[in-house]
Amino acid sequence: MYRNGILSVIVAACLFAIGPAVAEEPLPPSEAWIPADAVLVAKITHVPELIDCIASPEILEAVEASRATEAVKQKKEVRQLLAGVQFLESQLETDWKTAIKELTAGGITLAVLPRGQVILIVDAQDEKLLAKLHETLLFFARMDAENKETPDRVRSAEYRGVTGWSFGPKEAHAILGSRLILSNDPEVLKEVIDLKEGTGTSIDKMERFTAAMAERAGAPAYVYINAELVNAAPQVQKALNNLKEPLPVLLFAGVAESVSQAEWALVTGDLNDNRVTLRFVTGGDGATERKASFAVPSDDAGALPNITVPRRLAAVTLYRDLHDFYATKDELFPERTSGLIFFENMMGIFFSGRNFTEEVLAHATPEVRMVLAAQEYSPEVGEPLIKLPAFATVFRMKDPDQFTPVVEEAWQKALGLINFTRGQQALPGLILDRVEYKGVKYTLSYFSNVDESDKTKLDIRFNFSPTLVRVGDYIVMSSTEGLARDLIDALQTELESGVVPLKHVSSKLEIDGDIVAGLLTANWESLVGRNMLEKGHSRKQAEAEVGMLVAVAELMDHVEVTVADREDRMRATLDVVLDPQAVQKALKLLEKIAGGDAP
Amino acid sequence: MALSTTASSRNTGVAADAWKSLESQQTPLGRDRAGYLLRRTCFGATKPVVDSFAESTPGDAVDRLLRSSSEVDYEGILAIQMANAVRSGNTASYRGWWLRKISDATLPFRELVLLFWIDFFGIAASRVGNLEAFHGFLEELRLLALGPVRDVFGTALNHPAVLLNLQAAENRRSNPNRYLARTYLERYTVGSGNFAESDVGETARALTGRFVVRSETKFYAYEHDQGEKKILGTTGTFRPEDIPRMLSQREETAATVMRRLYRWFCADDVAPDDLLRPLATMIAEGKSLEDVLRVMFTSQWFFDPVVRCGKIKSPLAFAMTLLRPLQARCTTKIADEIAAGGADPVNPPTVAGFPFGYDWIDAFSLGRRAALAEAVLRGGDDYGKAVSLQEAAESEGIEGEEDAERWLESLLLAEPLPETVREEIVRHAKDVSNGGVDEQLRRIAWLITMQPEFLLG
Repeated sequence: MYRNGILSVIVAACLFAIGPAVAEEPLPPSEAWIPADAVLVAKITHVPELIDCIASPEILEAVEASRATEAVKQKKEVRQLLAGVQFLESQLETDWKTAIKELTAGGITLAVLPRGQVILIVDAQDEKLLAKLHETLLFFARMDAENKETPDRVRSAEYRGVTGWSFGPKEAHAILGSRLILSNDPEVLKEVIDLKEGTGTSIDKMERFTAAMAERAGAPAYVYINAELVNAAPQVQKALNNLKEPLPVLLFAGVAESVSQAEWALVTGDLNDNRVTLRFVTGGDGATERKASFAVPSDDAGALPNITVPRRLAAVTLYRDLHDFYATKDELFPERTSGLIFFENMMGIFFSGRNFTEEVLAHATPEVRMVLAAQEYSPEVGEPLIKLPAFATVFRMKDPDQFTPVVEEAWQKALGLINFTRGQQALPGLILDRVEYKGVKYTLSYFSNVDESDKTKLDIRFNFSPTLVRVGDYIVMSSTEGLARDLIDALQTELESGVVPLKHVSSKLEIDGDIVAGLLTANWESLVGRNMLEKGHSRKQAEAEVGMLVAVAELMDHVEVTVADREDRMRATLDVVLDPQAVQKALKLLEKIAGGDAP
Repeated sequence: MALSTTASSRNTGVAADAWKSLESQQTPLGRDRAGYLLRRTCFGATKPVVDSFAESTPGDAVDRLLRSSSEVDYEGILAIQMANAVRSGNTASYRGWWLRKISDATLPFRELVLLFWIDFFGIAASRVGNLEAFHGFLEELRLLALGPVRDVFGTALNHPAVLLNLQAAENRRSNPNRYLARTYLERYTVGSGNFAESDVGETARALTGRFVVRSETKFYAYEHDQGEKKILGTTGTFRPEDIPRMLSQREETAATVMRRLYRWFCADDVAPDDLLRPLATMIAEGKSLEDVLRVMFTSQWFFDPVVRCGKIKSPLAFAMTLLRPLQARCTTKIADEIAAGGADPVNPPTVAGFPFGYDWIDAFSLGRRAALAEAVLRGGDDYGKAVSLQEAAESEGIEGEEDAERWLESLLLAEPLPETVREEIVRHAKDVSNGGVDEQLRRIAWLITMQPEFLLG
């Protein structure tokens, strides 16, 4: 049975046909053979370079040397697969890596049509190798039928001078020179041959596709999406609707809107050294009608660069005009009016009756920054059993001298409310203090540890020491004093050297993978426990799953997501810098877990 | 089998020798009795455990049960998670972990005894309002649960969790708490009809001065009524700590405990005093609960068909007796479903404890049970991995639908199904299944859980 599996994998990867001799003239781009109504087109060129990168000698060596690999190799299915690969290598007279590179050197194109039909086009460099592989596969299929004493599954037929082949009812393919065309529907294969013969319209003639390709900028991989068709799907509609709540709208301002209004979307991908870059852009007439203008930087404006602090896990910088956002709440969230009125009334209490839109939010500039950092616990206080990261939000004020006392008063009211509520539950409250650090006075609140006998396993509340501090134009609301002090250092440096906004950038998220992995490891027992209970896993299963999460975090040295608005288009970029030692580190971790030696 | 078959219908005439030991004390217990004993005392067990009990004599099997520890192989993680839940006041997580322990432990008998005491005192984390105090109560009980009843009372009736559960954090001289005194007398000790209204007032006076301050019980002499009190015919200047001792030594208290113990481990119907007297006397004499339960679990009456089918399963027992034999694990979602069904182990709905008997059964709750059984058998992210009954059956050398049905019956039921029902189950499973052997077995298992034989006992 497994032989069939191998066959399918290989067939899907590199089918071909022994067709009649084809013309020597160069083939047109693969997009010229994709029907115009394709919902999705994905293409990857430079496949050999990609294979060299992800299957570099160092990585292969590390994988080979891993005990985990040895364990996988002992599995029956894997042994059969390796035997099949070995056989193919002997038939093709080359190793698997070279064979794949030569068979895909011209690129791979995948298209999905509206009714789920799929077209795969593979452009090989070596036409003869392709033919050889096809012969081998035909031999396999026929031998399999003979062994099982079943009728020969291989079928062939002519269409417009091209021989089409099929290994089963849901597979049809043809080979034209060095190009393999494969589909799960014989009728679609005919449609492709029609396009080759000049009958019908191909996607590359479509205006939307052409506009999208103008944004490709030579990227070796892209995915084009007919957004209008995809957005009409109920599941997509539901997902987009979920992003219409106030907080998602504020955080992902413009993204969901652009996607829902777009006619097309394009994702391009690139891999350079240890850096993977994905770019996402939407387009179409609708993309210019923007409700989320509160998140669109004008002229040279943009979000400020992220703040760097020690042990930083993640940082977000946003360009959000909070006044404009809140002033348009009735248009943005017509169904949430009563809830927002309640919120506004509550804010009225904290801000002593000031109008929340005009007298509070209007005092903040659109530059908002947030930081998440692992904590360093002071030995005098002790360490909590569950270690939570510290977080802080930094606002910039238009008139700090006038507005700081207003924020201070609201902050202290909020702390008072927390203390009162905790007191009602006979829980310890926060102690308020005014402290000075590097010439900056700030409001600190903390829990007393006087009654704590074991300072190595403190309650979760010791993760918090809420702090409010003003540094120049900035007001910092931090969950801990430690992070507040780090921010004082960072902001004072920034004030001295000056700060330049990131032009057109409305959002930028940065994640530091190794610190995230460290935090996950520090909370290993808690994460494993949660996994066990929520998913009904055994300890070993839970450790394997959490270990995978840590391994992924270890893989990523640094991740950046940037959203910018230029030329009326939303452009998002994901940059992932991989740890050069990532594969080795990940394998080591997984080995540790398999050996029952969890971190 | 009719759901109305209960203990009371045959109680008359059995009292004299009801608790006589099984006649075959030196011969192995046998699979059938071992399976029943483990279902009633541990919510069932895996086949190897049932088999090992089956080979033991009744005395040895019950001794093993009474000395079992209910440990799991992840005690370290469990301790951390329970501590986290307690510290953060996360009752749902606390409940989830406790139920996970019950589903995974080889013999969770001690947990069932703890649950008995929770039911007895009707103590709920939500009413206590302080998970740390609730957890502290359970941990103290864990050490005393199988000891003499008066030791349990000595700790429990002075415990902050019990006082908070009865909204008695303050007992001032100026306003004696009659509700607290009445609950002590009526529910926990001598029982209604065995005390006068004046005893309530006098007990309330004796309990004054007892306060709960930041999860600790304190006594403030200036708030205590120092005067003389006459309680149940005895006169003295009683203080709060005297009340548990006084009340727990009374025969009526032993009878109250025995009634609840019988309801918890034997049958839902109220047992006649004559039936319970021999065991109640043991309690009154200061014998440990372990001694009492040893007599109960090795008695002929405990294995009598009337008692075997004398209990309607709570949603907790329903879920656990399905999970444990199939080695499926309790998840947060399953724990939530059990709680939503009214059997939240940390939150009995009233101070009278959990519902019992017919209170567990109505059209709505049966629907819930059907859905839960289906979800557990089918698995999924929230319900854990699907149970592969095919693999389990194959490892037992089971072939064919009828043999598989009998094998599942032996795993899940106290009593065999009537032949016609069995045939109907197999036929129905064959008709509706289109997912192969595993799906068919799953269907059979699900249909078994819907039978009265599974819902009882």
